[in-house]
Amino acid sequence: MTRDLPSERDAVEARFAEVFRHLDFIAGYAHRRGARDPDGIAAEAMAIAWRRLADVPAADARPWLIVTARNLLLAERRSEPATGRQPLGDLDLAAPADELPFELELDPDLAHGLRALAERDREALLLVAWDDLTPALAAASLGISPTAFRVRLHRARRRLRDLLTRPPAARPVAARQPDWRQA
Amino acid sequence: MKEDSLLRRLRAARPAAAVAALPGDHDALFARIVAGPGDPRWLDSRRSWPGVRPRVLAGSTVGLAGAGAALVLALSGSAAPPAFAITRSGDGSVLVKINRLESLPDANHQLTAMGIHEQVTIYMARGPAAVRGPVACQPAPGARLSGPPLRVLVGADGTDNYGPARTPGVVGLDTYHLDHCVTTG
Repeated sequence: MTRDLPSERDAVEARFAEVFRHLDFIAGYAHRRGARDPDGIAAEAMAIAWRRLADVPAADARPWLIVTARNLLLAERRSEPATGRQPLGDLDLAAPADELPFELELDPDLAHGLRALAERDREALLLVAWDDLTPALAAASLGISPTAFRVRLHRARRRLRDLLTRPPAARPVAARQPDWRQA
Repeated sequence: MKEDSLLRRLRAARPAAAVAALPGDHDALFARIVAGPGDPRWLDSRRSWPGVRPRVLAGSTVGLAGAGAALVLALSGSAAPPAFAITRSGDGSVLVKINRLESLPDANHQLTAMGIHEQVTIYMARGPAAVRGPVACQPAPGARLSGPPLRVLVGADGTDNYGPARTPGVVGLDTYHLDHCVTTG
């Protein structure tokens, strides 16, 4: 069956459709990082992607979307429940993520170990283990080189393994119990 | 503990999604996001996604042909914000999903904008749909059409509930289903 040549508008929408197919992935990412409204964050990330489509890498949009969703998560945490989400115009999408909360149901030992990791080490692990990203995509999500990511991932694994094999009395106490949901 | 077993343990602990993300609303969300500046959907779609469903404004071109008769939806212009989604399938066919019947004129405008020079007229009949799912449109008698096959889905399963609160001129809450649809050039 022959089809009409797509108009420029069709081509742009088709390009965005390739990004939009990651909607559930981003909603899942937001959920796994403890978002109050993962669907809303995913929808907003997609709206931002549409407005900045030229900035979204064509090869794989997931790292770009993760950076966007991560900063929307930050805005969600910083906003007061009564005032809603921080205006998108105030967001710095290149800003690094703050510490991530862990209010999810995990086995206590694993939760303790993850909490005790540095945020950047923990995120490196979770991008691979929970989000199924390749090291290259995970590196792009963190804005670092694949080599630097491999070093970070190795360090994170080593630290978590060490934490999980220590006897409980020797385990460090997490510096902060993230409790932004109750704040 | 080896690295592989550590990753396996982490993966086993991966939190499952509490609910399926945006169930059933992907097409509607896509349509709202890609609405351009100047389109009523555009401002409506920013920053707020209550249920990711578009609002419905009063005023439409829907009319009731007569008690017990089919409801014919006139496809003239409308300023109401559309609540529809148009998607192309891999086989080249086009699915027009109508969440709010008032949005049909805008759906036809969108078809034109997509380079599909066919207009859809749908005919609603009272009662729920006997067969759920989209309905394939048939060319109007004498129409010579070269566009892709069009299918229309009203509501989630082909049925829509209608009432005076949503449609001026229609008296009494009622249920309609998509009986058939016709395409013209």
